[in-house]
This record gives sequence, C-alpha cells and structure tokens, in this order.
Amino acid sequence: MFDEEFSGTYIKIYNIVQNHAGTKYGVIYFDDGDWRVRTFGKTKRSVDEIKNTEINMNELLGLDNWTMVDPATHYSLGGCCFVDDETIFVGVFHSHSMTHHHCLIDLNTRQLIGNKQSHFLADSSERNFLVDCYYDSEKDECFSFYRGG
Amino acid sequence: MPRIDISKYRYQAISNVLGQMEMMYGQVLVSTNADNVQFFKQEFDLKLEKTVWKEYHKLAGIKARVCFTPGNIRVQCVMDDLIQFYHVDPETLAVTLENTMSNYMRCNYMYYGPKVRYCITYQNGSRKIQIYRRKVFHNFKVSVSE
Repeated sequence: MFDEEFSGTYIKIYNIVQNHAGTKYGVIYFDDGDWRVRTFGKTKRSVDEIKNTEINMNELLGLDNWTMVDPATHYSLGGCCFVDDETIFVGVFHSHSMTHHHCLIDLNTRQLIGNKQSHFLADSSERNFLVDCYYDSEKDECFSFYRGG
Repeated sequence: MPRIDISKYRYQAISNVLGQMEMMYGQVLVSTNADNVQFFKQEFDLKLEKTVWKEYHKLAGIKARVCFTPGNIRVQCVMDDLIQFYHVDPETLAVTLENTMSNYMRCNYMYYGPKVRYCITYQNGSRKIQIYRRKVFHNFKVSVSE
C-alpha cells in the first residue's frame, strides 16, 4: 500500500490516469487557479520529492490563475492521458478567456514537446469545462472532451 | 519521441451535454448525462469528408454512472437500485445488455479487473472500499469421446 499526498488552498481532482502497463499513474489537479500535473508509481514519496517533480501548468503554458471551478462539482477543468511512459498529453480550459490549451510534456525533462496549442471556444461559455482526455494508440490521436459537448 | 502532431487538431460539437465518461478500446466514448447513457464512435462523414464522432447507441431513461476498466469488454452502468452490464463487442462495437443485478450494496462505483476475478465497489461518502473476489469459476469441461 502507498499513499500520495495532495495539499493546497482549493483543490479539485477528477481523475487519475495510468499508463498502458498500469505501472505509472498521472493526475492533473486544480489548486486555486493553478493546474498541476504529477506522475507517480507505487511507492510512497516525501512532500519535498513530490514538490520537486510536480509540473505547474500555468507557468508552462503562460496562463494566469484567474480560473475558478464550479464549487458544486469535482471537475478540475483539466485532463491528461499518457501517450507513452515518458510522455503525457495535457489539456486545460482557461474559462476566463474561454480558451482550450493542450500540449505534450516530456516527463523526464518536465518541459513541453513542441509548442502548446490554443483554441478559442467561440460557442462555449465560462461555465463549460474539460471533462477528460484520452489517447488512441491505434490512430495516434488524443481527444479532449468537454461538458458542453 | 511521440508520433503525435498536436498542432493538427480539429474541433467538433458532438452532443449538447456530456457528463461523466469512459473510453473503451480507444474507439467508443460512453458518456452519461441527466437521463441517458450515450455511446459515440468515430465515423467517416461523406458530406464533410472527414471523420466525426457520432452517437450510435443510446440507453434512454437511465440515470447511471458508467464504470469501465481497460482490458475489459463490459461497461457497468451503476444506478441507485440496479447495476447493468453491457457488453461492447471489440470488433463491431455493438452494445448488448448482458446482465442486470440489484444494487444491494448501494454502491456508486463498480470496477472489475481485466480477468474479472476482482471487483471493487465504492459508495459515496464511505470511508472504505469493498473488494470482492470471484468465488467460483464455471469453466468445468469434460472431454466427450466415444
């Protein structure tokens, strides 16, 4: 048994994803306007170790921390999925600007692979949110699904 | 390096509302909303000349949470009083109701392992999870020969 600690000011976590082999786990969570991505295995880690390996998505994507989640739901407005053991796909919805952002992250360097991509959701609303992201290994495609369809 | 090029993306409105969801085989999106469960898959649209997500099956009047574990071929629709097991054919993606059981444990989540040996259930607000182990394997076979 192991446990992984999440602490912050205002946390929302929706889903924990795993790699294809089920040996590595990843999660994106929301903490008072900041999205953070972390990956972990099956061993307990210290708080310092977690902090050192955690990825701050706002810094990586150049986003402010104005986003506010719906307090009635547990959705974090972000999603992630493993592409392979060393790469994770991350999508977030910046509700204030109604813009979807997605990117690939190299988990070894904790840096972006290529550039981030942004898409303004013109027919959306600030109450919309990203529910989940999935990777299709056969077609090599990633999907981001929103509440607003 | 991954083979994906994330700069080539497309945007599509596939439904009015999507709720809690699961992806099966990387091909079937199972999503819930207020009173139904929808199954989506990608199809090539001749008019638009591109692949689009389309709803191909709908369980109307079911307010449920869908539970799926990668490696399985069934999705569980957990309702307040019942749990329905739907088989999704890995090749044709056809959806068939296989079994229905009473939700006597009043769980909100039910997950099976890929080998269907273990089941984990969880009830919202509970401090613990329940783990069930398959007790009997009905795979007794007798060689019949003259």
